[in-house]
Amino acid sequence: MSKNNGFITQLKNGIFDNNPTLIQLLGLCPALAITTSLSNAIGMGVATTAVLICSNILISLLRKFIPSKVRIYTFVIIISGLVTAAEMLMKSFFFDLYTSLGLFVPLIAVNCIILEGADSFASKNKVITSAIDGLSMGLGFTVALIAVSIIRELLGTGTILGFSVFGASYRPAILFTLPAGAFLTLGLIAAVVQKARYAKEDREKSKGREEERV
Amino acid sequence: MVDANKKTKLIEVGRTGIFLVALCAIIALLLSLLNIVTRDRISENEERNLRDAVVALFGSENIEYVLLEVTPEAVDAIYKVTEGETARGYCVRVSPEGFGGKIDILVGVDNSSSVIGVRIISHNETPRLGSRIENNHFLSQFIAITSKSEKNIDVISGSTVSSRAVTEGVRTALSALDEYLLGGVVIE
Repeated sequence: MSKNNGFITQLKNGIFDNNPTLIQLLGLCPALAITTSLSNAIGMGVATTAVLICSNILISLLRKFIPSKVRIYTFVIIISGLVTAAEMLMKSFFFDLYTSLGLFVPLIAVNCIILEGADSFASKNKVITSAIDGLSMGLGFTVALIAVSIIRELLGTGTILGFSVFGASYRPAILFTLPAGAFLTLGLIAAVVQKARYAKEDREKSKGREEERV
Repeated sequence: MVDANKKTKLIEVGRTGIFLVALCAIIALLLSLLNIVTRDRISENEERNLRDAVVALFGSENIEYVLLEVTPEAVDAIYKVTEGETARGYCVRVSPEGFGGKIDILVGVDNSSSVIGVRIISHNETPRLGSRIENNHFLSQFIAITSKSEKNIDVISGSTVSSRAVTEGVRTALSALDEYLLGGVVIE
């Protein structure tokens, strides 16, 4: 039971409380660049999550053998190997997605969420918790990408997953497909998330005070 | 005393080195195995992608294309395009150097050596900036030019390097095709 609870807490931590993109503001380069369409966001999120889980598992398995002086090099070698593998698999099974993500597939290797996960979590924890951490951070990243891309695709092109939502008379706000729109959208979403977090904290604090008084 | 210190340090360096070399070797081995598995599928996908581009350029599903045996040095490949018995023209594949690496371009040319269309097969240009070379209003500028025409091609503002590379690529393609058709091919 406690193990199950741990799993859920870890997932919740990655998606809400400690979301890598919206709270920790990591991995912003892909989050800003590829979120012009929902399908790109889902593809990128899934690919990054897969690499993240695999790298966390491998690094956690090897954590006793990795010399601490060269640990960053080791992580980078492992991560780039995994990304190359992911690129080959994408090219052979999801060729269209690969062509639309283009340059950003090899750039998964330098996504700092992955390196951060490797250095601060996987190299210190057991294999299963590391895998779950990879999953929860990856899901958090994916959720953030999806949130940004829905707003950008809807306002910027008037479609969702390529289907027209507002009809032909809608004149898209091109700003949202441009980099400036990416910053605006991500900033607003991050602000809303922070507001929600503080509101929750305040509620808990005032609850605590009331209890004290009683 | 100092020697002993040096010795342990050397051993440590050696161990670290061996670890890194072994790790790289294992990963390279695994990746090459994966490459053997995925190679065929990838080339199949790329072939289909090329076919789609040729079909889009000539606007017909029933076209066939064959690779010419002699290719001028400046271009990657020239395909002769036919539909049934009739010759439809040529497709020239060039890959000029863009902003982020090579841009893979297919230039469709009809029997009178004028361009009927340009398709970007793949590129690594900056998304949202250089990637606008794929836009139709840029690429449609090339339609109907020949190797002799002196039409100016407008670059996309913010994507100067990428658009110049495409323009250069199309020019190279046209002059290479001319060279081939005149029979003065440099055989490499």
